[in-house]
Amino acid sequence: MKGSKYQGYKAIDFLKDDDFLKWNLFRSEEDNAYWAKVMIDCPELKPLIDSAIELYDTQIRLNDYSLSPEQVRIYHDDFQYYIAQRRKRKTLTYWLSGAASVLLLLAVNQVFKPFVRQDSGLWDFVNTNLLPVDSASKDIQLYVSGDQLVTIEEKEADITYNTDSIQVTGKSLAEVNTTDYSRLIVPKGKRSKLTLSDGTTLHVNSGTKVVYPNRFMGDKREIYVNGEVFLDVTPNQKQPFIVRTDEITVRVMGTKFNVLAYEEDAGTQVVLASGAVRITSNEHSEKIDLTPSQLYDYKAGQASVTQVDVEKYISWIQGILYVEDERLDILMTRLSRYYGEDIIFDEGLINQKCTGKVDLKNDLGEVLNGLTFSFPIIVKQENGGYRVSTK
Amino acid sequence: MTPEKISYVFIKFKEGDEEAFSFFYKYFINDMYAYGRSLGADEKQVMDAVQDVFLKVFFDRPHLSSVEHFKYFLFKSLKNRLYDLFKSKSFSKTENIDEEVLSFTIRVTILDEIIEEEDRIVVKQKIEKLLSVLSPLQKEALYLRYIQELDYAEISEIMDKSEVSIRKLVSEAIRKIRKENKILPMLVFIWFLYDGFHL
Repeated sequence: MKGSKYQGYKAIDFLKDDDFLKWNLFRSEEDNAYWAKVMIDCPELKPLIDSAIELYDTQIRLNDYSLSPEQVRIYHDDFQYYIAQRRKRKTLTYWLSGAASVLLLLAVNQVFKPFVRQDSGLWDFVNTNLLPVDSASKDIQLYVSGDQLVTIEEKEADITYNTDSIQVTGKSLAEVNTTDYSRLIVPKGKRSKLTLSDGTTLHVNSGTKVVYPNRFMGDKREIYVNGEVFLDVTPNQKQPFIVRTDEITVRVMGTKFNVLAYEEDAGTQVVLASGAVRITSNEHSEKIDLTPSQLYDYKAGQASVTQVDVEKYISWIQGILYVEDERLDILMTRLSRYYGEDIIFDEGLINQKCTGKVDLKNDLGEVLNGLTFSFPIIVKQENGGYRVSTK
Repeated sequence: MTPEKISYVFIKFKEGDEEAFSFFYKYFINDMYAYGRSLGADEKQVMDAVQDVFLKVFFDRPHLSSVEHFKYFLFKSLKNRLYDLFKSKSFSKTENIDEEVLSFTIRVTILDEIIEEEDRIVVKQKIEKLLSVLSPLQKEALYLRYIQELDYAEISEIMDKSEVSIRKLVSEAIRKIRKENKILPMLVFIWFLYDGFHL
């Protein structure tokens, strides 16, 4: 009798039997045959075995990890939130990239240093024609072909270089000498959008100067930047795009990518949103290739690369400023530059760090007032500017 | 939910319907969670990876031919994502932990509804002992085959091994467990004698 071993077994006893367990773990053909035989030989065991199988099926779980319905709901809500965030970011990227496919934003310090290398006409031009950003004028200044100066009073100018003309906020300026360089000077409190002859667009932030040829010729497209810009570079493998600053040179590579960077007090920064750029420091010709979401920071001859949240670095284009663990005095400097208004602050601010979002569409008074709720500071209007002091 | 209804929702999902997407999110989340935990990650790690995987599906819309295909695609993506997370972590910690962290384990649970506690402990120990002879890879293959009910082709995708070697892995695992307890063939032999004796 095959089932004799199991005489007197209750359903639960089968669950303690290795053979029964192995059978139920995998239901292999051989085991099936064996247990069928047992049940044929001892029909009285069949109901017990059946209820043992039921116990096994309903009561035993392997890797029974599960989330409660409440947890599932919460995770699903989170997921919906991420989607909404991502969609917002996507619209931003689409808006920035437009028809072209290279975006570059970079910020450099305002300190002029003599150039190490002078191997291009652009460098020569910049060296002999550099103008201070902080000139007396509060207007945007555009020098076309040497001394031909166009001043723009608007807060946000839109400048476009066509093949043979320049359009400034809709109006045409005729007669452009295509072999000359232009200089764009955007003072504090103003911004500008600039479209170059190859279709590349630049968002130029407050307190920035840009030098570029009226028309790109030769084997490369080269521009000079001092300040903060966001570039959307039209791809062209035959004519690489090169952005020069006093400290570094950024070479745009690949066909589809975004680069952006952001200015702090000292040093030069480049942030890459997607794609690839190669950065060479002018001092030691050290080359660094950036991958997306990386921030390149060049300070006192030292380059470092860190991973960052790109969106925060390009939000100024949409009038939003993100700060993360930033010293309050540095925030004041940036606000002053963006709004073009003076902010005088005392040294107590250096010890305070802030994290948050500033809506730059509000006026400076409102922004500073908002800060008094979170920080022990007092804001006063003074001589047409602001004074911020610690309590 | 009948299989017909699920296939209907799957068609809506393929058309980009967001409610259908949410349905599958909730439909698969516990299976993914269980698989991620079995691989040795904690709840936060698994759910971070699960969210990433679903975001990728949501935005990239990979080609998915059936509900089954969807499931193993999610499993494979989850495993890759977890592996990446552990790898990047081990970089920052400089400890070489990634190999061990993604090591498949099987946890036995006996529900406390019908079975008495002392019996539960015995049964749990018995099953754990049976499974203890298996390697993590064998455990993973068995789990995907018998608990998640995936077919060999799907498992071979997830585990990144050929179908033949997965079949071998599974059959060796079963043989190993069966061999571990020698009582079965012995008993058959004894019954043989016993039967003969009485004839």
